[in-house]
Amino acid sequence: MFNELTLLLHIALLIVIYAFLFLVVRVVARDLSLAKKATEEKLPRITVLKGGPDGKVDYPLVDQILIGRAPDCDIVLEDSFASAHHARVYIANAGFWLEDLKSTNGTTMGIRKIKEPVRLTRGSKFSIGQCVFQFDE
Amino acid sequence: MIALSRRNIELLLLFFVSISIFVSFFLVSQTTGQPAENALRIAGFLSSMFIVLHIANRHFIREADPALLPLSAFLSGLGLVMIWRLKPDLAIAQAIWVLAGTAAILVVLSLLKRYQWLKDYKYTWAIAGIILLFAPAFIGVERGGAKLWLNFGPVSFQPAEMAKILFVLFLAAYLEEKRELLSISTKRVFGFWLPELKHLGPLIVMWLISLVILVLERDLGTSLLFFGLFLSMLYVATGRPIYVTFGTLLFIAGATACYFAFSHVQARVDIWLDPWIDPSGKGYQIIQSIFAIASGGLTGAGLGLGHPTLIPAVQTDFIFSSIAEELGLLGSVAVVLSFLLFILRGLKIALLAKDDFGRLVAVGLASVFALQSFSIIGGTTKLIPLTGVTLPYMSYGGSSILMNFILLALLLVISAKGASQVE
Repeated sequence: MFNELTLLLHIALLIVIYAFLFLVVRVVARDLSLAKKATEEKLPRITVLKGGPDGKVDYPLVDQILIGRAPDCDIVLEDSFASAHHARVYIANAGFWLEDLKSTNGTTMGIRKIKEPVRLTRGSKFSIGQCVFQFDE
Repeated sequence: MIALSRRNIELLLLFFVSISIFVSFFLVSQTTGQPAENALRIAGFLSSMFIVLHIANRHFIREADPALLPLSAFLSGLGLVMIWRLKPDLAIAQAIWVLAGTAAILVVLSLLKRYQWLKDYKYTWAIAGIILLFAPAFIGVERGGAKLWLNFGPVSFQPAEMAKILFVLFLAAYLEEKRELLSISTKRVFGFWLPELKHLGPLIVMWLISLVILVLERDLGTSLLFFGLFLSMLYVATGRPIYVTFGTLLFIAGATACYFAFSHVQARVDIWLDPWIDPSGKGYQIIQSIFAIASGGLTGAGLGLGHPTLIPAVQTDFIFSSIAEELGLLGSVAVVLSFLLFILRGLKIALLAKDDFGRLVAVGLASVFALQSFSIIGGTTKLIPLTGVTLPYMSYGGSSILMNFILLALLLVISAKGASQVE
């Protein structure tokens, strides 16, 4: 039998169902953003110890990080010793590597300027001009 | 929403589900003239079952996924209300199966906190699965052209439902052990690199099993389901698309052969292509289903106010059409969305699982669930040829309810383990 009560209940039912689904979707969305954060935290990263741009000091390594003065770099330096595309950190052969991109003033690791790609291990430090970076996995 | 624990989120979601159950049962009692006390009794019974499960989750698996139980509660609540509206006599039987399903979940939760031991018995699961699958071919009863049921006095049981879970367990354990061997190719055949033949043995057996189901039990849906399940698990375990390509070709070949070999397969496909060739006979069911869906419109005729009983077997295979008629596009989209969310959660549990066995079990269960709901919703809406499988949680049928409740319990257990290792 159709009347005002059943119409009202019908509308109420649809509203409750969609309210429920909305909440479920929110739970799912929240979980996804948490999971994304968790995977980012687990990524290997480069930390800027000294110098470098203001604010952000932590750069997760997805496939490569480009360092230099050019605005398209992942870490943009304001150091006058740095070249436009100065150096990069990348993943290859199941390892993490630091490569100097033929910069004018070079990239220093320890006391030596690097000439060819150097394998980075946990805690490796390197410097470009006045800036000091640390790699962590 | 900010700081609620997983179990409190579950409780909040269940609260909404419970309201929807009470409203819908009361609505049906108003429109069909059945006593309102009965409506409240069944609604109360269902809600209390889910509260029991919620308490069990709190006790056994604190960190389990919060969305799975509410989603399955919503679907089985809506299923039961439709069954009560369509065939009131069957609702009590279905409610008893929900009770049995709840008991099964409690058993699984208490026995399987550590599910790793399951893989030590993989061949036991395989043999039990094969026995369950093929028993009806010899001692079963035939219904609607398919031989799938075992009769125990008043209760009839569809053992293939249980076999699905057993096969998932077997395949997960087997693939976990052999995944390396299956991903490495040693032989080149017709320009394809293939793994050694001896490692492929059990996989070919699986393929044969799904063909034999088709021939012996004449059940297209179950056969398709097993093969699809098997392919998706194989792909996840090895990461090699060649298996999927090869399997799909095998399937197309098998399906074409079946089309020409079996008259009932041929009839199903012909009716799918054009139901109007026999509108009062073989095409009647699907035509009535499409009429029902169309007459539902955007918001539906209202629970108890449509004519879904015109569809034969509406309470099992065609329950989705009855929802589309009485709750309209809004209601049926909500149902499809719930299925999608359930599958999404299942796959996410697989991603987060820390052990390969748990990951493969979760993938397998999510695939069974996805394939089954897709093939029956697709079948009733004439998207694909109709294959007689049940709509998980919603259709009338004891073995289906029981199997899907156990599936839910396994997913919950795996999600709890994955979460506890992350944190």
